Amino acid sequence: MADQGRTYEIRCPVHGFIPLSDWERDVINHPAFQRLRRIRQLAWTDYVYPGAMHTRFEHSLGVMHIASLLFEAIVRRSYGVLTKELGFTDEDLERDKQIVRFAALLHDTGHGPFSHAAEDVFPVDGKGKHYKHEAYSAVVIQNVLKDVIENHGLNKGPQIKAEEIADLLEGRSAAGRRLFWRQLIDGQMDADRMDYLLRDSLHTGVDYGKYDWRRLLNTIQVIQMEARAGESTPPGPRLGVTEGGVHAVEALVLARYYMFTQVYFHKTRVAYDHHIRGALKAILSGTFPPPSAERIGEYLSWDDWRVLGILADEKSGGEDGNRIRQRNHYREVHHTPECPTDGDRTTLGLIRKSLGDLVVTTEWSKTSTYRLEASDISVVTEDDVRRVRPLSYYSAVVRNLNQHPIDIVRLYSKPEHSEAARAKVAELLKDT
Amino acid sequence: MESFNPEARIAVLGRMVSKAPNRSLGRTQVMKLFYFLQELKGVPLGYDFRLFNYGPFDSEVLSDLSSGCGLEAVHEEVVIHANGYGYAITPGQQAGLLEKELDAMGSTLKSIVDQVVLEFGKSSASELELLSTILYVDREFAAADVPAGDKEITDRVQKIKPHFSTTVIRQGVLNMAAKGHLKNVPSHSV
Repeated sequence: MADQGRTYEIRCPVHGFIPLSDWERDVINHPAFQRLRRIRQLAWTDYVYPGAMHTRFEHSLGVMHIASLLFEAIVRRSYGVLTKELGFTDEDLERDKQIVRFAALLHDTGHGPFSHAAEDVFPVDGKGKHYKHEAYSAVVIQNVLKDVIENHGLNKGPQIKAEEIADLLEGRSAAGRRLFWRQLIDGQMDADRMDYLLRDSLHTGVDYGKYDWRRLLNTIQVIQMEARAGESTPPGPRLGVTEGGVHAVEALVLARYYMFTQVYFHKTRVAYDHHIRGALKAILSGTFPPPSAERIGEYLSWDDWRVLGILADEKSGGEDGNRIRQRNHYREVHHTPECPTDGDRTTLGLIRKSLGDLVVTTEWSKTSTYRLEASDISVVTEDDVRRVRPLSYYSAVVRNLNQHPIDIVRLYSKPEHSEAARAKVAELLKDT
Repeated sequence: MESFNPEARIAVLGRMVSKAPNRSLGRTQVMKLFYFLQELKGVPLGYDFRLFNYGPFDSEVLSDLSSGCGLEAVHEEVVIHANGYGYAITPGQQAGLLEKELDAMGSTLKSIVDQVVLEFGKSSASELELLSTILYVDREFAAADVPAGDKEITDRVQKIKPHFSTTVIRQGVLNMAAKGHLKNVPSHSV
């Protein structure tokens, strides 16, 4: 193991003590990282769950910690596959671990005010799509943090370039074989997801995001499928778990499901997401520059504090700004069940038509940042046969979730019209 | 042109499945066919593909697949075989309803989808992982304005996918180039 210099520990409410090297501490102390203390993890969720005041700062430390534990567990359990079949050397693995730690630590440095809410006012790229915060994170790493990453004494040995961290984070081909580790940053069992479920659960005060992450660490490994009959090459190696980890990963999938329905897509939280997006549009439209080395400083000057300062002015943010200041949000007047039938969808259409202008916004779970996709994780048996099966083969719950995904639609009215809207809905539902 | 919404993408998925050999596709095939549709044919699906060691991937494709199952536009089953597992995505009971959605998007879209399925629909998951990675690497070099021939593309892909031989990767690069799919390697050069 390379010399880490002096080591430090930061107390984390989820993981206990998070160990850091002197090098990592310098990166954390950089203003571009300290800025994350001023960006809340869950935007305006504290209007529903008052404890949800945690920031991207503590989450980023947690992601680095979990990514590191996952990396070590995989190397410990799959050293043979990694070195013999994928060609990693011991030196590669040590260097890659540091790059993974930095990528995990810095993955959110490009977030705008109120996290995902700002993404609607990001400029658009050449394909007409809004830039994502990851594009800003890459520019921050390659420019603003380049010096503190590359010129630390502990980098004399590994010679890590800031660009290598950005390559891994962005999914660029220059990352080469190291792309294998991208699954730890963005995947079904990634460190980001593993941390935010536990952390959001703790701070909101709900228990839905908890799962046995230590058991998951204890069973994760590289899974190589054999080539199918008639094929010369098998699909690429994936991360999976041994059979003993089935219920740990099942619980991870369920934690996402519960957190989505109870927190991330909570009716009032969704209303405030709408209002903050509206207020940010009123305040910041056309303000954010595209991600570039030249203008990244301008972008980083925006955080929650600056927006809150503007929002404190009772004339700012338009109607949405007023609603936030007065906690006078749009009210949900109808929602579909989690797995609507054709009949439920028909009813939704009738209600929407009947309510007309009384509906001021329609929010759909499928377009939520936290939406769920079809989950499946490879599971390998622990006998000599080493058969690989998907999680959904073992878990009827996961199988059902894949076949019957969450598809909630929420209709909202202004508070002053919500009573009339609900009365109309009740009238319509009486006949269905 | 605006990006497709999820319903429109599910309609495209339904068309892909109905035109696939044996009216069945695996998850990797669906992922990579969507990638080819967006990247090669310029269909504005609105996906944001990023590179993994198993090729370009966007979890939103799986989210649409899941929605497609929920709407019964497609049906998905796990297929277990001796060496592992895969998925069989077939037309669902409500597949016909999506035809209208697709028709509303213009007559050429169907033929573009059919072309992509015809060209790549018979390839195995591992072949598609390789071909889509080759295309991703080619597009990256082109976007960065870095001159790169078949050797540079082969070398870069080899680093990402060490379990493929150089010969197999190079053949994949030449095949894609011969069809005019690569910006860096013109078809007349192979």
